[in-house]
Amino acid sequence: MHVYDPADSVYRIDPARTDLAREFRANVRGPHGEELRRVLHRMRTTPLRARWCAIVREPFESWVIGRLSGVRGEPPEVFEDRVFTDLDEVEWEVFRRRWKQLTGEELDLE
Amino acid sequence: MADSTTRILGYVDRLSVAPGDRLELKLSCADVERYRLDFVRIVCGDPDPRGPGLDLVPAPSPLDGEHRGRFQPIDAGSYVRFDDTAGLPDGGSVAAGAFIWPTAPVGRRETVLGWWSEPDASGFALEIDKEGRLRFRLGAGGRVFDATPASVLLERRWHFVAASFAGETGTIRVGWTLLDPCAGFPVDSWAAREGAAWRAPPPGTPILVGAHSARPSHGRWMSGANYNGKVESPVLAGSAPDPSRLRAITERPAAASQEERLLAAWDFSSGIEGTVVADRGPGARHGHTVNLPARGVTGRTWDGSVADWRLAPDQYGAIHFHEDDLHDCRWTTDIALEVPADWRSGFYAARMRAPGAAGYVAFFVRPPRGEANAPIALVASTATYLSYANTHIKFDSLNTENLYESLTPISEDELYLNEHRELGLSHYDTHADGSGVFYASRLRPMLNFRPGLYTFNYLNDTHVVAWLAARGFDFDVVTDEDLHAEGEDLLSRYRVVITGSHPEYTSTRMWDAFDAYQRSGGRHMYLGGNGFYWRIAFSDEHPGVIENRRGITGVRTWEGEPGEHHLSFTGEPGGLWRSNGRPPQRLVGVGFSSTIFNRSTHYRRTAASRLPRYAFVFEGVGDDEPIGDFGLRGGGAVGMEIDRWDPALGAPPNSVVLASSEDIGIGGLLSVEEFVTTTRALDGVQNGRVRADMVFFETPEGGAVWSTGSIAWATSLAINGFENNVSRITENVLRRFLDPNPFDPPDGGLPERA
Repeated sequence: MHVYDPADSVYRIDPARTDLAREFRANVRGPHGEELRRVLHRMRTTPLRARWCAIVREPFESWVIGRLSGVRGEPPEVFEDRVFTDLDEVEWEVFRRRWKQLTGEELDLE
Repeated sequence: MADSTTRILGYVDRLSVAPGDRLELKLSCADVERYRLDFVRIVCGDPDPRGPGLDLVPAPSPLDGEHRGRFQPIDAGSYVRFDDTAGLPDGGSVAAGAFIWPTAPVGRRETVLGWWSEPDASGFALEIDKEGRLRFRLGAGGRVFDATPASVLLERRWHFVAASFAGETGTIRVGWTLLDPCAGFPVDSWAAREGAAWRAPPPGTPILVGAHSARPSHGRWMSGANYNGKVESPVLAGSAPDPSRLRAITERPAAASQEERLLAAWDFSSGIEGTVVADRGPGARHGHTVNLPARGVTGRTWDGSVADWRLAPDQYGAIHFHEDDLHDCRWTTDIALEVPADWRSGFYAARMRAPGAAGYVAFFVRPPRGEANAPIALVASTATYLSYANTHIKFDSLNTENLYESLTPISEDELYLNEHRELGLSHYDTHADGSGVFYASRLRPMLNFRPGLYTFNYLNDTHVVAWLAARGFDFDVVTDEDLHAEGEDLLSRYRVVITGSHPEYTSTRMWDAFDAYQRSGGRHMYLGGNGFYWRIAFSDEHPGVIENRRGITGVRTWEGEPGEHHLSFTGEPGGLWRSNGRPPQRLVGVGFSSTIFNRSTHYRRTAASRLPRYAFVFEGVGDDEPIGDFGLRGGGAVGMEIDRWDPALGAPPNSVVLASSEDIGIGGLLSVEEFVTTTRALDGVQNGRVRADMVFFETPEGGAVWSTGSIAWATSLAINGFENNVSRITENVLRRFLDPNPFDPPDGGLPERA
């Protein structure tokens, strides 16, 4: 049986490469350069348990962030505290959270 | 707040109806007591405000108005059911044996086989407990006796399992033997206990393999403790043979002596195509499968010498059960409509509305049988819609976000599907035990096969509907299911046949119908990508279902198991049509090359397109203007899934590439079957095969085929109020294809080259 294992995603994101975060911030939808593609592939291969996701709040109007349970039948955790009206902003916020999750460091572009 | 789309759910007994046909609508309302019903013809089913927008035309019927809602349960999980229990002992000696290959032994109680009523706690059942241990359970109404061997069963390994109860002594014996022993792991594990008793469950309780009789829900019988895994050769005896005798009987039921009182010996290796399960025992207690457990799967003796169950059915004596299999919700009918005579052919939906809730159930109105009401037939790709129905990939599949290169927001419908697994799975899903889904049924609510937020297939094809309406073309709608049933005869009534954005799933009869139509002067416009890709099967024995085996190549979300690539419905090899000697290029000149989900791009005309022979396609379009550098999906007409021309894969010798994609970029990724060694050059920046080709060719008897080779073509048609070069080119081709003047192939059969 062919089974994907998130542990096979072994690329390490260098927290010093904030230039890649800036590249993403400036152009969320891509196409992206090779190194940023690696960062994104790593981020998008996180385990289904607690994986960040976007959830439709009002179709075509607003979205919130959630975290998948990773268990069939169990709903995602939904964070209603911040409502997004632009999907690119959701992508960016998830990127920031994953940066922290995978590098251990807050992403600070200031 | 938008109305909830999940409080009223339903399905229809048939997808395609003609005027005068009876259409039965089956509904379930979780909490809606009354709803208002009407019917609509769908011009555009896509509510995206950036596109043409939801466009629904009322289709009045005598049933329009208020109706009472009610809840109807779904009994998911497959099993084999045997209703003939005459002559079974009531409390006396009994034994059960089988070979099993458990696929999810840990986590929940599962019943391998038994004659057990859970509400009465009576009967007997061979189970797996939630720790993954085999258990034999007896019930005498309130008193339950069981025995459990200490070692756990091994996942995806064959075991002989056995259980017996000796009536004279009250002794239970239960255990298993591993057929393929593993070092360091026990070869067998047995347990026994004294002082047990049982009595027969209430009259009408069936013998089940793969489940037990659970508590009824809303007055309906329900299965429970559904098993995940394979079972082979289950037997029942009215005696308590020792384990070695029981194994001998399980392997060869004819070996049972008179005293051993064989009660049943079920043979899963015969009748693999259908639902009937034969009993080789003296009682001929034949049964039937429920909810489509997988058949035509390898058994304990499969040795790799054959890959086709038709050649060695004895090596395919197993059935694979899943807790989340579903065929038919078996809901009772809420609304029975006689389709009004004045409803023109088209995409339709029943619409149910209540305060805060709105639900759609999609269906199609075809022209009266044997007739055509327009010169154009649009083939609704219902096999594709069904194959994707109720997909769970955003929740269950690790690679979804990588595939789409974005978060792809989760809708209310998708949240509901995750929590309500009883609505069944799509061909893109894996079962709870990780195995791939072979069967997809339309006899259940399908939340992404209706107007809504799921932006693939059904919704995109309604952009073609909207375009035909906007340009003033009269057309009939027929479905894949109609085409499978009626073949070329159905198409032969039309001057032009249009296939939509994604006609991905094709049965042999569907393929043959298109092929025969094209060879007899027919004109086929294929407006999509990734078409004619998977070989599927329909079956009269499994109404409303298509079967698909994923095989060992192609873009897939799971891979089939060795030896399990032949369709159980027909025996045909499944997988890609390309793997079956019919690359899509043979039928429509182009075949799948790549996915490109991050953004879409455009086409540029080839030099050949400027030859006078092909001028009709580009009337009003400049020689060098980009074609389709706009679109609702990714901003272009070349996107999502794209096809390329290739004579080596059977594109007809007179076929010509009129336009090809440009600027594909890094988001274009070659499909698995397009390369045989891995290199660093599989993307659209480096690899020229990552492209879409627009192709035209003449066919015998004055016919022709025109293919766009891209899913995103359809969703570019409506841009700028349908005034754009994608719309213009499509209209140019359609007008010429409607013209009865035959297409003459080039002299000598080969195309002019620029």
